Amino acid sequence: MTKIKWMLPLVLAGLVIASGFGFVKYYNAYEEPGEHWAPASPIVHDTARFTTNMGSAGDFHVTIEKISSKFPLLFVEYQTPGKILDMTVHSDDGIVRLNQQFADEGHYRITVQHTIHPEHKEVIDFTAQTPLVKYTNDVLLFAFLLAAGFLSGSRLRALAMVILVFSIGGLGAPERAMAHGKGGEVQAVSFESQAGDVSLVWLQGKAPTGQANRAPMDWRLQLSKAGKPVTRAPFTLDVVHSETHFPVLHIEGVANHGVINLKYSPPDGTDYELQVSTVIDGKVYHLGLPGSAEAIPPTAWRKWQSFLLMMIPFLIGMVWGWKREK
Amino acid sequence: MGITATVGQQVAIQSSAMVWLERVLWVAWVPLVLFTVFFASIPDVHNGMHPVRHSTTIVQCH
Repeated sequence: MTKIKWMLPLVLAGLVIASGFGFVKYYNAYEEPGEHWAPASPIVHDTARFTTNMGSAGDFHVTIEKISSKFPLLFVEYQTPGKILDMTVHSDDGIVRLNQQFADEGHYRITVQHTIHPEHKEVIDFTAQTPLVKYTNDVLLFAFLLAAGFLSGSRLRALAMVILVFSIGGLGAPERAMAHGKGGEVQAVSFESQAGDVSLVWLQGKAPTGQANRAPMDWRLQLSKAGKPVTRAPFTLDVVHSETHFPVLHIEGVANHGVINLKYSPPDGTDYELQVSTVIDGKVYHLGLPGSAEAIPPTAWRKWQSFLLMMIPFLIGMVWGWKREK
Repeated sequence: MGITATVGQQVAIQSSAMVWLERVLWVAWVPLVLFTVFFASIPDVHNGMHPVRHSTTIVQCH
């Protein structure tokens, strides 16, 4: 017993140093440059910037696909595996650029393929990571539940109530939710669908409908001038989250015949604004259209799974407290 | 005498009931709080607790 006591500071020091190295490694993974100009491990809900040089101008088929989720029991799966983005873009300089915010942790693949020469393609595989603060919150939550269980077990009523208050407050400064959160100092900008004689409309004639984080929805757009589709127009497209005012997707290209071929599954069930900046006949236009994706509530089974997981530390603590009180 | 015994029995029954009620409350308070904070579909509670749900990896929001 005495030996253990002497060893304890050493073990604690070792743990602190090891956790320090662990955190540094984890943080570095976010920014580690990949084979392309891309983060090797982007953080979910943050903007990840991808760029790949295809060597020459052309039309490119760009897809983002979720290959697999991380262990869904412990890491909630919002986006089911499958395609997230399916779009054809033209690049005049041969460089394809896109930014994307990912809904959850997992393995993803971006493919950029020349439409005429399919063998000419780039494939970027990567893993999106959960922000470290979520792990910290999980540990805090489990620790508080263990403590609450222990105190319940030993019937220390007053202290238990204090712990309850702190356990809820302990999740203070939680990671900002993608929805219902605040976008910091971002100035919300809204664009009209018409600017002079240039207009932006849905190619389908109406806004798309569908669920977020599922099969890509048809968000194809049509740029027209004086009622006729524009022949050719470079554009930047942002899909802007209505509550945070951050773009969840940014992509650049050239619209041939005025068509912007966007099929996309947004990472959150809420309203969005599709903002297009384009140059037509030497003049810059900023246009926008509102759209929305339906939220998918968790199933009863998923709720039960989460609830039972949280009950484990509480019950362990309770048994521990009960035995100790005896 | 009979009346005193009855009162005594009643006090014993009430005391026993209180002990059981207390036990139930001690077992139930954390599950109740967890359910309310993370899973209740009452709009005000649900919206108010939105960031808390998103702050963990195990609770799905929507």
